[in-house]
Amino acid sequence: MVRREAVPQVIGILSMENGAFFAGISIAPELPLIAELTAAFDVLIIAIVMGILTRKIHERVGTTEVGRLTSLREE
Amino acid sequence: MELIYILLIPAVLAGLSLIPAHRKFAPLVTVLGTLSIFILSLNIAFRAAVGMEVIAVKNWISCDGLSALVLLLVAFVGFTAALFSIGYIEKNIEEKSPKKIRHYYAQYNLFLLSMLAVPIISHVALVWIAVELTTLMSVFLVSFKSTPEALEASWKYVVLTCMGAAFALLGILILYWGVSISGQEKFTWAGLIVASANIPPALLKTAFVFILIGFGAKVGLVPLHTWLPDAHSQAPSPVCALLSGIETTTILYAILRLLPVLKIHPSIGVETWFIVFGIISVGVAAFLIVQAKDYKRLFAFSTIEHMGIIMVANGLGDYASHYGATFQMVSHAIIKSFCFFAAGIALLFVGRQDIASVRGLIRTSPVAAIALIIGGLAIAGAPPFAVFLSEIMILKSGLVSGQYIATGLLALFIIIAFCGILFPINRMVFGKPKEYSEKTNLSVTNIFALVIAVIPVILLGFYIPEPLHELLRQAAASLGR
Repeated sequence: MVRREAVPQVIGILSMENGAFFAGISIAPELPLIAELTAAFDVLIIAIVMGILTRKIHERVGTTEVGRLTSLREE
Repeated sequence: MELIYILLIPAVLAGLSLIPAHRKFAPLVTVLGTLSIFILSLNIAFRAAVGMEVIAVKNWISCDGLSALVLLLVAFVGFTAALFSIGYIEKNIEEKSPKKIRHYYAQYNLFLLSMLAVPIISHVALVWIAVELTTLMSVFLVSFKSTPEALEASWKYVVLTCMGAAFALLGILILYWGVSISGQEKFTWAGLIVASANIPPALLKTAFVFILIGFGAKVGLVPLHTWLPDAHSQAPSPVCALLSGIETTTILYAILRLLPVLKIHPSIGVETWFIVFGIISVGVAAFLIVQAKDYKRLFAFSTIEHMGIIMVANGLGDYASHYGATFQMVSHAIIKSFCFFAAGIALLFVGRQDIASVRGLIRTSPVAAIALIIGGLAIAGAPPFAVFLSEIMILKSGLVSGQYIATGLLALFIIIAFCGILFPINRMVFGKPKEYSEKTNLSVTNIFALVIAVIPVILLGFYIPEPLHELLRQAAASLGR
């Protein structure tokens, strides 16, 4: 986890997912339509969920620097 | 047809729970709906137990022994956790806002829907989507308390598991590539087994490693387990029961489905992967259990340990160990959810999660104390309970198949974890009580949920009903080849 800000982390995850999907499509072009549609829908949900979560963190903690959130760990 | 109803009911429930009616409306429909899902899946489990494959839509939605078993577990815990939610959520919302309660139940039902979909759907690409949805639907349940800690836990949870999901997606698409070059088989679990003989082993192995890492992050296998204790300790207790008891089991089911596919090529050595990952998980979890300072984290580490045990059991590789593994899945799901109910009740009484602040629970709240003792003994694997039976089965089959090192290590770690779980629980339950200022009255539904959840916990240690036995046999047989 190199990035400490929330938004770059979201972008990182989305681009990972994107990369995986493109790599997959290039090797397996004839995936059923429904699977592709739901995967696209899924990416949309990831973006929405993580966006809302970032906003909640911003509201409650006052920063989006998620790298600072380290209160939960083993002693 | 029942399978489609099972998928439709939670979707409808999620919509119904959003209706701004009386504040008891959403909990009530959720409990009734989950009860009907449980009855439907019992029906399906009975049919799958005699070896019948229940098919709703061919090649898309179907259910064999193993999936019926997982479905039954999800439905049972879904029902008891819904029942437990009523009293628990009511007590835990500070501002008593009915809107928050409605949102809780809507998300609860969507989460349940995604977990029910994993075993029911047989098309592998759609299973990936269902797995991904289990994360996304549960994120706001984890962050329900909206404290900075809960938000941190849910952030870690969503980031790590979404990264894992990207890996798993790549693995699944590689698998799809393999299936499409090998012939005309459909991309379902059954089709995968048929096609596997023609898929090049290198391709299968690459896909397997990606999927193991990806789904392993959700199951909590050790290098990627860091989110699990956080999320499982910060979520409200009924959600913890779902996350810890069945979400991990359901995702593990998706990994286990690959076992018969990969066994066709002995050169891949899939058993070794399972054993190595399993042993590492059990070992690390055992030592994490010993140092745990928070009783919900304690149970979360015990979940990692149990997932490791199931992995090892599947790696040991004969029918007896597969039977042990499926039985362990059942006992883990049922007992771990009960443990989190017990922890939830203790939390209602004490208001704090660290072990050190709880003493002499047996004097202040006998219900919480008795539940914790039963749950702790059962999950640690003390004799009259189901976990003990399944662990003995697994160790025995390990010795029979001559894997002495793996079996020895497993036994050692299980014993460490056993002590690690029982000592803190012992300290919490007995001893001189501290004074707790607030007195909480448990609601009837909490007690009722505990009683329903405790029945199989106690029963399965003495007696496995014949249909369940058949179902376990079917499931174990479908793991072998």
